[in-house]
Amino acid sequence: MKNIIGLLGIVFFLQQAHAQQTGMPPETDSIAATADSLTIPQDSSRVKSKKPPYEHQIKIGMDISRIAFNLMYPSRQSYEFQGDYLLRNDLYVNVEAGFGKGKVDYAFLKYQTNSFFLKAGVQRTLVSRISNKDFDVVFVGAGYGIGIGKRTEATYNVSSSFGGNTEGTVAPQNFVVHWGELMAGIRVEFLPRVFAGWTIRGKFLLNSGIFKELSPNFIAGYGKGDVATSFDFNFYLCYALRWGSSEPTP
Amino acid sequence: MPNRLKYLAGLLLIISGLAACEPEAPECYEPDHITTNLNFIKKQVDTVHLVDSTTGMSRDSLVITFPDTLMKSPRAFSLNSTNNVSIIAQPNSGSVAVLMNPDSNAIAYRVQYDSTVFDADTITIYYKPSLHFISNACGYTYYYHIDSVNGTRNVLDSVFILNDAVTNEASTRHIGLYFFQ
Repeated sequence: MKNIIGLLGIVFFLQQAHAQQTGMPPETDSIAATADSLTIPQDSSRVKSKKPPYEHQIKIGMDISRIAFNLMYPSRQSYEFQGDYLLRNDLYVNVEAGFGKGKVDYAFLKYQTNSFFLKAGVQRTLVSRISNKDFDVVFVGAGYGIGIGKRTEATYNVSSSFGGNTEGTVAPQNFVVHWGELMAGIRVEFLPRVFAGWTIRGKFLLNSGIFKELSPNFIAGYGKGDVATSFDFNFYLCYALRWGSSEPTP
Repeated sequence: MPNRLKYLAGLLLIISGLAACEPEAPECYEPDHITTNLNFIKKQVDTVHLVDSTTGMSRDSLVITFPDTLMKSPRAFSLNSTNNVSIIAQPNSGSVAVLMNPDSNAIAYRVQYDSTVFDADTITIYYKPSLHFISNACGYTYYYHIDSVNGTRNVLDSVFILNDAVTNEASTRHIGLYFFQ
């Protein structure tokens, strides 16, 4: 747990260090222009610095592996979407959202869950860009997630060796869970503006003691609700929106 | 580019194939049948002869211990239930694990220590059942809190509660059946 907190701190400080290297505030001339439109002489030493040309990119995508998992595991259904923005210092700001439902339908226990989630994180590229047109990325990152959902009323059945069964119900429960994530993955531009790539994640619940009795079998974005740590695999198909230019203006 | 696409597609197929190997049915790895252990303990009295090395005086001391004792083939039969159960322990066992009825607050067992010998005692256990959630794969079961225990004195000397919490820990010693040597 200490190593995970330390890694999150390292990523945070890396981002702050790079942010201080960019965005020098422009200097302005203290002499105001007059109403009769006198030309204001410009001091050659006070030249407004220009940022280098930069092509902005936002990728939005969907986890297409969920489609396969939803078919293979009918008791756990979810849909996940992702968006990220490339900063000038090769850092990505990552936002994810999604929703899902779980179902437990055994002879001794029955209930359903519905939940949605939001995640936010930072990803750091590990491979330098070949050119300004190279947007392939291998990254590591960290993030925070929050899941909100509801478990319906649960019915249970306990059999006895002395004959007969005991049936009962457990009241429905709303829940809010928080978790941290560490992730790694790749994104490759295999068609113009179209990306594909995978992400592996390790997740750890920050409020694992929230479920005193019956924990939900599935929390969208996290996984099984009765475990404090979880691992996941995603395969994304993304489309990039770009504006601006990476070529210097003549 | 086409090579990258093939690589990514192949990786997706492999991952999907591995994921398909995971079973969907519930796998319960925790015990859901809760038992109460009746442990056989004998009262052993030994005389120890001690000699003082400085004075040379000798003294006899009584040392009383309560070691576990093994029974040849212990058995337990529930009494007065709609459906009674019969529990046969392993030969040369130091205890017999009995079941509790969650629909009642008391249960009586006829405990026979040797299947070849008719001598037996009736142990009556008074308890409170409480519902307990194990996991999504196992569902619910009942834990018990032992309030009191009585026993006849045909073979037994006394019976005591050693641990009043009956949970899914199979090795806990719950009730001690004491025998004079």
